[in-house]
Amino acid sequence: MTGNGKAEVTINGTKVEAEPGRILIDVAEEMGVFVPRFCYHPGLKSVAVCRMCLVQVEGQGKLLPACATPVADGMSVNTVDEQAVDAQKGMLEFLLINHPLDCPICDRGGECPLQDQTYAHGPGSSRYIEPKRTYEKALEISDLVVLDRERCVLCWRCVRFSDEIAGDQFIQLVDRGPGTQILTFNDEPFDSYFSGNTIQICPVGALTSKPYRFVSRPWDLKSAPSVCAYCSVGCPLTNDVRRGELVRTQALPNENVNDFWTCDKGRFGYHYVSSQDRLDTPLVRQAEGAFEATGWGEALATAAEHLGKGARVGVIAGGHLTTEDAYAVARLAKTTVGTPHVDSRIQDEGAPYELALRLGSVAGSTATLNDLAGARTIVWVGPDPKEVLPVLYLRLREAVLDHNAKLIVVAPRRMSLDAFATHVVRCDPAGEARAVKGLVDGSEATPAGDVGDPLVACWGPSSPGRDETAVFAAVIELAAAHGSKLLMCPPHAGSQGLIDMGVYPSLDASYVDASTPGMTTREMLEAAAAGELDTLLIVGADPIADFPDAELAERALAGGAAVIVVEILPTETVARGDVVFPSAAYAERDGTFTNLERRLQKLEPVMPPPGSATEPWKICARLAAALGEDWGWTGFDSVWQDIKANVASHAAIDVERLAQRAPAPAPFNESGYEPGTSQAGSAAAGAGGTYPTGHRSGAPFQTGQNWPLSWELRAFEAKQRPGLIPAHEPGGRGSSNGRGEASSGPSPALAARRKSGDPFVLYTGRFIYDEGAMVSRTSALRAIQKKPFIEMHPEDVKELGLSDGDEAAIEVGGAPRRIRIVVSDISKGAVFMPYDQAGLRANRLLKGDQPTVVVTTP
Amino acid sequence: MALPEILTGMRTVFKNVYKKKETTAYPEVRRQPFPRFKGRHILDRHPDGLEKCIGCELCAGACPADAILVVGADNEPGPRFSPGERYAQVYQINYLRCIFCGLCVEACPTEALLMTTEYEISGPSREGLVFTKDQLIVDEPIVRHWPTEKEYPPEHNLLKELEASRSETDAVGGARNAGDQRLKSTAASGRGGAQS
Amino acid sequence: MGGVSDTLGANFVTTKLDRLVNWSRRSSLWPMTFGLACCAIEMIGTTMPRHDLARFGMEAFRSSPRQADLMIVSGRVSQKMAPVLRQIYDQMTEPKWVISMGACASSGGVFNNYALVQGVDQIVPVDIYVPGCPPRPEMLIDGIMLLHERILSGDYTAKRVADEPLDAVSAGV
Repeated sequence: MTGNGKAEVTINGTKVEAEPGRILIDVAEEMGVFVPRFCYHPGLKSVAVCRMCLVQVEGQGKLLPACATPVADGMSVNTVDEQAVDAQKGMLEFLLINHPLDCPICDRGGECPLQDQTYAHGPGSSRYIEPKRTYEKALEISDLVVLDRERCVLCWRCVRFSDEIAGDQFIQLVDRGPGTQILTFNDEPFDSYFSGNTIQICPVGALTSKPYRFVSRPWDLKSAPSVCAYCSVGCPLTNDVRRGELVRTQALPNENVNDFWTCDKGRFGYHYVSSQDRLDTPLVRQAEGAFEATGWGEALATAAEHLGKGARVGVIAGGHLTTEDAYAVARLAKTTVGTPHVDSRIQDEGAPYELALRLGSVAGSTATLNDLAGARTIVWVGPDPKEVLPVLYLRLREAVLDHNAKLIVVAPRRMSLDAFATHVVRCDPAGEARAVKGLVDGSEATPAGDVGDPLVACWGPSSPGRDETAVFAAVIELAAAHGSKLLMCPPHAGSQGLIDMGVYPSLDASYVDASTPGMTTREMLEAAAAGELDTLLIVGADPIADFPDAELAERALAGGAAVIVVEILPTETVARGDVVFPSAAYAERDGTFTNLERRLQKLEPVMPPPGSATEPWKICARLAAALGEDWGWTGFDSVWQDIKANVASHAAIDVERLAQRAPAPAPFNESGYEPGTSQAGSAAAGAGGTYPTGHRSGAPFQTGQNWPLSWELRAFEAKQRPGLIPAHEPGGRGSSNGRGEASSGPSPALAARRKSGDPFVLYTGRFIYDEGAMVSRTSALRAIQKKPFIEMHPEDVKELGLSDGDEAAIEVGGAPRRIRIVVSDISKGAVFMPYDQAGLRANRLLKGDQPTVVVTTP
Repeated sequence: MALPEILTGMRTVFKNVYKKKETTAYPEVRRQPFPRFKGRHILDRHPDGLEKCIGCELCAGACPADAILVVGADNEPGPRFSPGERYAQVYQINYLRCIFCGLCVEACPTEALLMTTEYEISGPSREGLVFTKDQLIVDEPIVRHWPTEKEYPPEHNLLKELEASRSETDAVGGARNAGDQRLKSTAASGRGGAQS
Repeated sequence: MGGVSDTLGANFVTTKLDRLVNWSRRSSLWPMTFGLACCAIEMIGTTMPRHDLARFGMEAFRSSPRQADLMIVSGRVSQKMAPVLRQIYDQMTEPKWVISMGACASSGGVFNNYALVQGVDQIVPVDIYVPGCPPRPEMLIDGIMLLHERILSGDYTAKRVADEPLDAVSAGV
């Protein structure tokens, strides 16, 4: 044992220090000795079933699996011992006995760990001449995943992922002995939100992606690191492009954010980028009512004419804008145009993010995702994270199951977290604030000791009709009572950046209180409908689909106001626009997203945008120029210079360091690999080394060249990336723009208030795959989206004389409609309806502060 | 003055003008290329009519000139294109880029892609020289641009014939003879010479 | 048809006259030497007795553009050679034709890099592309004979106008 409590281990003659108890295979890899492996994955627990990583440990009679051997002081390991190399060779020969040699048609071919490791460590020829075991090929086990059991090497990775990480065991090993195979149960589909991860970690081509099936070969792909543009978790991704078309995205590891995983929406929902109907040229509505592609000059001039109306202009920005776009929108609106009416809350309309300033200096999270793992108690108040923030669901699950955190869920309906929550507080749709307050003062009965420090309180805007101010104030009160750890979960990838940059009616950039608070989205739409606004600038938003009152949004856009839209896809809002500018999608641009824990992560372009589409910040700068103000922006760097000069909270950020470099084949780079600093060093260095083992042992190689490493083997590079926005001097104090404390006191329980025959209180929530403009462009995800349904309390259903699965009648926009009833654990008198499933958009029903719906027997 | 030189020159002309010529009168007369000559490609079929090509894109990966484009697709149930799961939905060879190196043929795991000895593929447009799958597939007969009247086998050796005709006029001089000797030895050691 | 019939109207005399003119153009092409790389060796080989380009009335390769009407671009065209090539093309007398011989001249071939023009048709209008690396002499003759057919048919004039890629180059270089 060395002085600092670390174990001294000798690996292949080199002494290294490591924390005692760490896994040998990791320690070896960090010092640059790569031990071949199939079943070991750093994100999963070791099982040592593939026997590929056998190494010689001095003093042990038999070879030990490096993936299941903790290091101990004085241990001496030889990974290239003759016996170990012989065992590895033998294992590969065994694995290849039944593995079909159909690499030419296998999607993994070219980036396959089995291929790579057979080249590096394999025997070169097989002695097996008997017929191979065969199964039916290409079994489609879901709309996203194709299973080929012949190729499986039984490493259990998919099974362990489903069990340990996702918690939905749809895939399992069945049968025994030589007949052991991977299968789903009784022809049930592999209906997981995280099934794509099993494709990515499969070390052979047994699980392959259906949307990517036979689309490309890895050597044809051009890749760049990026960040998922959907939810606010912000999983880092790689975007792969073939011949100008985005054909695949895969998760990049970042153990602070997503570990190694991402959800299927982020992984498969990329088709909108290369969609045929992308907007590619500016459109201006002509006098006779039709759009005409006019080119930038005329479109900018027309838009500038509409924007030069000062405070009679309203600006609505959507959640998929990057931080730079957000800054540009805020600067365009508040400085150049001179209007305080700027808001970025559409679907989360009414969410009082500024209240978070009561806890500290930021209108955002004070906790990080890593704090979840260290928490004793986690309180979740918000929408179902599995549906809206899927990877956060994985992190919550990990915190509870692996780190023994107590999870308290406050929710009006059953949700995914209930399965492992310590305590579930079931409340009315409007009763969450009361329930959270109960946790603060102890009146909500929780098992003794459940609420304790350190506590992370999580809040996300959930449903129109919920008194978000009251709920959030209660959550903040709870957090303040237990160490001020708040995880604020806005809905979209760019939402936090928009708040940071002051695309917010009551806050300017850096959370300084706005001198003249502007109108919120709802107020702007109402004003536009009433003719009090002359111009609406809508950047990357679709109020008709997303604003929780479709009718108001329609009236606003049809009103007298000129509508300028910046969009990537032809949405319903675009159809009602007067000037439309085409915007670049996330794979086509530089930029940064700020995720829910306020971590900046950088996007890098991998393909050019269609036509003359460009980044929204550039469009804002052009609009400013058309209004006579030259911002002098030439590119990403100059925007950041401006941001750093004007936004105090972002002044200390080193944008250079945010660059995510594509993972380089670090494992073999013995010379230039320094643990901890790897993201900057080895990826940039064009240095080489020599192959440590295998038939090419000693032969030199060049990093990044000629060595077709699979994702798997590259994944260990840069697991940690910088990016958290550092703390800064407090700016505003969150006066909350006229919203005081919880506006109404605790209201009596809904069941008591509602009389039989009254309309039901409507409660909505988004589901992972819905009719959103982006995700619905992926046909595979569209095919598996849930059909519209309503959830009701069993007694309410009984009262209607119906039962579970029956159809009820509701009225949507004046037209009657039939909808399936699901009996569920929801409070009596309330109805839950998914927000935007095929054919039914709940915002047609949402009106006013207390939306209701009349459910009758058809 | 110049007359003697002219006469000397014309003597040489008239001596040679009625001799058998070395010229192959392409395109009417041709000499077949050797069997391993690398000409335009074909995509072969199995005896049962299915395409041998499985759309694996290895030829495209091996191509140093990036002349081949393959887009794979799943064989739908019902009438299929190739055995197995995958077939080439798009198969194109751009003969403007192709350098006829044959690496694609070596890379082909199913021996679907082969090279013929046909070389008449010039054309007036770029697009016309990007050959698509229906042009490359073996059932499409390869049509030559020009009719052929006479075709010699690859090993056909005009030098040998010339040699025979020249031996009749050996009296020209020593220097000429030395040249013939050199030709003779080349012809004898060559593959064609040995067979003809 | 082009030629006389364009100006004097298409009647028996003018079309026959055109045909005669085209036949004579076809039968005595004057190639311009533009050997740039390995393809040039095959081009030279084509004129040797075995293939004997003189059979088609084009035994004399001119080194001066004023006396040539067929440019056989044989080999890689570097960016630096491109303006020279265009200037020489401009100096050739009308009517004139271009054969792009080999993969490099036609498309850059294996040399997909900054130094080479990716296809000579970016700087001059190409009438016939001859694939190959390098094309054997028969392939070049095949291309020349296709060009003969083209000249005889007389439709080169219209095509030339449509194909002319860069006015800027001829004006600027």
